Amino acid sequence: MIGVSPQPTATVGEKHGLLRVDSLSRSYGGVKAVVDLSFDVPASGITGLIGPNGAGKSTALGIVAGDIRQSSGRVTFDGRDISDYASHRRAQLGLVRTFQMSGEFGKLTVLENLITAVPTVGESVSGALLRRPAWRTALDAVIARALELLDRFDMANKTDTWASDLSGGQKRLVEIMRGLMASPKLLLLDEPMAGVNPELRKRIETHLLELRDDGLPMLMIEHELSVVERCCGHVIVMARGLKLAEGTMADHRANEAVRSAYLA
Amino acid sequence: MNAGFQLYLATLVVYFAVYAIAAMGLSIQYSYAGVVNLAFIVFQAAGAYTAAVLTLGPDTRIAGFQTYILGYELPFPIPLIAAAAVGALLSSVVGVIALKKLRRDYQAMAFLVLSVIATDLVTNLKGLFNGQAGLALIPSPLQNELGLSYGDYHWAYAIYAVVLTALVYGVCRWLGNSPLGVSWRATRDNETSAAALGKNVARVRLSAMAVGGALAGLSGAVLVQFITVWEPNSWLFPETFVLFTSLIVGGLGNSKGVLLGVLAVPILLLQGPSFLPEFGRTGLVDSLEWVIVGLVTLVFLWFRPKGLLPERPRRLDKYRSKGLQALLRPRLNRDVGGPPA
Repeated sequence: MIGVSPQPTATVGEKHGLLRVDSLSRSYGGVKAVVDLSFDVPASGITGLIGPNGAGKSTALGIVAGDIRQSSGRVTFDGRDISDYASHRRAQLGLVRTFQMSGEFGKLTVLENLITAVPTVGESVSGALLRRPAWRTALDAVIARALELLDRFDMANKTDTWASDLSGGQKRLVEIMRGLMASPKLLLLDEPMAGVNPELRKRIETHLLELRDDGLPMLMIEHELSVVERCCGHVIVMARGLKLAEGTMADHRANEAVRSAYLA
Repeated sequence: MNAGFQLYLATLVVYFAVYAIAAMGLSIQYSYAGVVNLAFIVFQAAGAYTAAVLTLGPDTRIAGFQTYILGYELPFPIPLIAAAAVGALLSSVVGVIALKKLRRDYQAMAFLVLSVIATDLVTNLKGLFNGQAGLALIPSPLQNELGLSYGDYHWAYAIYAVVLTALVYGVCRWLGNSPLGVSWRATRDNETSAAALGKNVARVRLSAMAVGGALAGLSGAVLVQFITVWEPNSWLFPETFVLFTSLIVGGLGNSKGVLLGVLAVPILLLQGPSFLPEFGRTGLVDSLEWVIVGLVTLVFLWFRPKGLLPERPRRLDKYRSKGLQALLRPRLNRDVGGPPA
């Protein structure tokens, strides 16, 4: 397995799902973006999160990742209550996200985008100044891993390119690779195929399926239902901030409420 | 070359070194970590005052001449180290307050206000550093011990300042290419993504504030021990803009660009008006300095925002090492069908 090393999860996580969202709500003034949302994300497979525009999917993902503060409710990850954790602490626990709008580091090369995702001893002033041999060795291993990942994602020819000079689809790939470098326990994907050409979309899908088969659990917001059908065994449907249903895509297609709210 | 001109040249070399050390500090804060520290000059001043009060000795020596705190006579290089430490410490304290809660544009405003307040404080608290009149007769390091003539000492000081600059340049390059340097640039480019990858953005920026502050303090000490006087008018907030202009002209994020920018702006451009014949009302020629700084900043931002030496991608070769080669060898061998190493 290259680049992906899902960390072992606690038994509590296995029993209740790796991620548990409990009665989550978030309002913006009078607008209720997320209302009493509860769901579990299992420790394997890709869980889909679908719904019409404005359903509250990205807000929910933002709350899970710690970018948005919930008005009420709790988030439990790997058996630990992380409701009050800042986003960087959640990432340190293995809850890593990608963004709907590309979140690349523009003036870092593709390689640097990848290596910065891995914490090493040289990230403090004293470490960088005094422990050069230690961080050089660590960095060597990280770079070797990044180069393997770039090979796997057919991006080796972009190693030295500034991320700002990539196409929209390539930026998505960089974001996914960067997420993988951070050794996630759960990868949160916010519309990973939005604005990507069909050919690259296919590639991203293939990579996601490979990662799933390698044992990396993911929670993915996606509008392209055929992709959700192929990738996600478990799908949560949201509309107007509420959870409408949970199940397989086949279940949802048979569900009148889901059909009228989203699939029609 | 007459002695006066030689002295002028030595002074220019020292000024170059002082501006270069300060600009490298600001470059770490602004070009690397994206912190718009419009109070940068305050930390240089803090270093200068620290070095001064740690070398002047007690203020009772010449009764009523000047009053200041501490008043030690510490040997070289302790005042220099203390100045850097005070710069770093003060920067960190300010950083904790300014960087944690405020957005980047508000941070810049907070820093600008801080700069103005700091000048007012030092001017009005006369007991601190002798108020508006400032400190004078600040000793230069090892001047008596070396026993050099006035002119030779100037050149010795210039060489010492250049050696310090080279050291600082090396340390900055070292830091820039370390994982910390990559983290600085990552938080600069996209702080939300950096946080999503587990980076404590405030702490990463704070480390840049501390390093930049240390260099600011160091530059202040080098300057004050050369010119031997220091007063609130030496560090008014527009001085920070001279450093920003140097970075913009030289090229943001390029270490050689920082040196080129310093050579171009505070040395060549700002020294230019002093060769002009005096005209108009008194002080007009001096105030042309600020007009030039403003114009040059605008011209570069408009026509060449990347500066004379633009930031370049740090290619894989920059990170290559023997260790990495060894790690990559099996892969390369596999790719060309050779035996694994």
